[in-house]
Amino acid sequence: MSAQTVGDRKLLPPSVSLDIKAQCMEFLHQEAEYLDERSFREWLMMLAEDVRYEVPIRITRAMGTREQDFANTGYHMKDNFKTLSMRVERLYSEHAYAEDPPSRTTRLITNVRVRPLTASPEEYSVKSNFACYRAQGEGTDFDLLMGERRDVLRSTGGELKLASRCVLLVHTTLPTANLGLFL
Amino acid sequence: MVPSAKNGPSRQAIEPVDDFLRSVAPALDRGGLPARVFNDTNIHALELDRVFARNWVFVGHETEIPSPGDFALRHIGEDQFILVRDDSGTLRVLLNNCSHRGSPVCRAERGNTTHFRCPYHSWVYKNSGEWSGAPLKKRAYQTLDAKQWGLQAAPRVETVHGLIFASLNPDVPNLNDYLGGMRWYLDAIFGLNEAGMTVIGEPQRWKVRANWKSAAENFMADAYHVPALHRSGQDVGVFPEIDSAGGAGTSRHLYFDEGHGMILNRGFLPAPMWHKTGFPAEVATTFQLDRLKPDQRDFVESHALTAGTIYPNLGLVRVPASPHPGALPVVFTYLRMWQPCGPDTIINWNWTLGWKTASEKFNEDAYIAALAMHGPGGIFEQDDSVVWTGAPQAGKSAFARKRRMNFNYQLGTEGMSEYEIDSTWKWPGHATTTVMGEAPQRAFYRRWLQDVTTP
Ligand code: FES
Ligand SMILES: [Fe+2]
Repeated sequence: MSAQTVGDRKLLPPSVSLDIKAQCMEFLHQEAEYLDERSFREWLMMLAEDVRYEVPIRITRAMGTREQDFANTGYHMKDNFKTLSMRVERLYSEHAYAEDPPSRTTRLITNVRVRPLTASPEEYSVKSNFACYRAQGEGTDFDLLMGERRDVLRSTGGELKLASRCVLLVHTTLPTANLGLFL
Repeated sequence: MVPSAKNGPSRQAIEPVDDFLRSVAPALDRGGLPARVFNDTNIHALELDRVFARNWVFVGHETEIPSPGDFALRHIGEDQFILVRDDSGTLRVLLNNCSHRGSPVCRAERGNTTHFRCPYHSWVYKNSGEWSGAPLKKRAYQTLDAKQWGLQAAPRVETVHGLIFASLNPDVPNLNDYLGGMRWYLDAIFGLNEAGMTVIGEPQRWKVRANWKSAAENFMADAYHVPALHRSGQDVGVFPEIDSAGGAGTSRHLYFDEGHGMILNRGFLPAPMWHKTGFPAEVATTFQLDRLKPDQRDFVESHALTAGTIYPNLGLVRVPASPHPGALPVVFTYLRMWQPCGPDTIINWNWTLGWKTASEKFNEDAYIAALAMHGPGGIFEQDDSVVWTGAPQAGKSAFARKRRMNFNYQLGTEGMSEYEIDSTWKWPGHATTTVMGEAPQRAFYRRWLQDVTTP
């Protein structure tokens, strides 16, 4: 196996500049900060109006690739800008009981990999791994959500926006009572 | 035990479960239900044996395993089974524990196979569950009676409109009799055309801190909580008149002494945009309503299901909802199974269904609306997942037990509210005049009580 292949899959050369990579990482960190500090409207401004936000369902299949675990077109969430806006507005309402008291979250975003998207020079494929700690109310219980995110970041007018996100969870059964949070 | 005079009355130990259960029926008669039924390991053990291993339990949909060899792992109570279509096309529900030493013979949650091979000593079973071989068979098992050593199979498997139920009780009445009058309504919900409905994608699963009965009674009949708990639906503008989901008189309960029940709405969606069946014309034109009996057709063209429960742990929902404010409502249908995991935890399983005859776009729109409103991320359902945690907490509270704390199930009892049995209802079941009551919940718990107290 050469350094450039994994199995029979060729990796794209890491041909974005360090500057672009730094911008993408900064974007992900800023986003995580907004979400952790519950600045959801500010977070929403980081999304493109045609954003696609998907959390596909994972199940355990026989030995095979991870992709096969996600093969059957089921989703925990399948959102667009309008549904995400509705979720955000709900979080500012008085009656979003699932987030009352609000989750205390800390998101760790790591293993960031940025590649050019050859089809559209203004867009980058950005993969990252995440861990999201979620606790609520009194007590010491918490949920830990983890996985990989496959994002497309789009550069418009010198500004990056999230154009799409696919969250590949490690979980088959969600270990948390609801997805009242954004990953 | 006689209290000893010297030490004062002995502190009363926790009341034995049999004595406790004898107190439940009188409590129900007064519109109460002791908190303890929501968190007690002894009662839970009785439920596994006398509810889940006695009745018909939903395990999946035929469209999930259309071909011979297709399988999926499923649960009845807390036991794991392989739901499989064998080589001859017969549906089997097989305990996923090897007959030799109990190892799980199937580790994938979905797939297709002709055989299950146990990893421990490599005993092999056909996809029908029959014992089919073992290593060194000629030397090791010269006189083994293969017929006795297949996988343990659920003795009864039956389907209705593609919904697969299994029972671990060989003497259970057949599924139609078990469903009773509910079957009549299932025809009207799922049997609108011959092609029927199909599961979209994999079911979602998520863990919620709740007793399974809280979910079952909520889906069956709790219209009263909708404008309270789900008020954010109105706040964000997706459900403009949330109060109308409560007691405005357009809705009613429909329930059976066997423990099944539903919330029905009369004329939920207005013509002309919507067909009388509650679906847009493009879908309604694919229905073959002449398959139904004339009175079922009357029902279909005047009433819509909102939510319901088939005893013990299958929920069904068919509601119109907008995926976001300003969007047209779309009707979605889903099935929900509450898998018990101890008395205070459930795994929710959620299958969204589409009509095989509907356009891909309609089914996709319905799927997206369903995910936005219900399911793990649904803005409505998120809130249910946090309020049900309280019943198991009270259920194990020492203080609540000392006080014999009863939860209140008096809604709709004599003199409380406008809520009566509608004597003009001409279709199966008890129908009420409004939803401002809890008759279905009380019937559900009476049925439950009968099960857990019957060996
Ligand atoms: S436990 Fe399965 S073969 Fe021994
Ligand atoms: Fe609810």
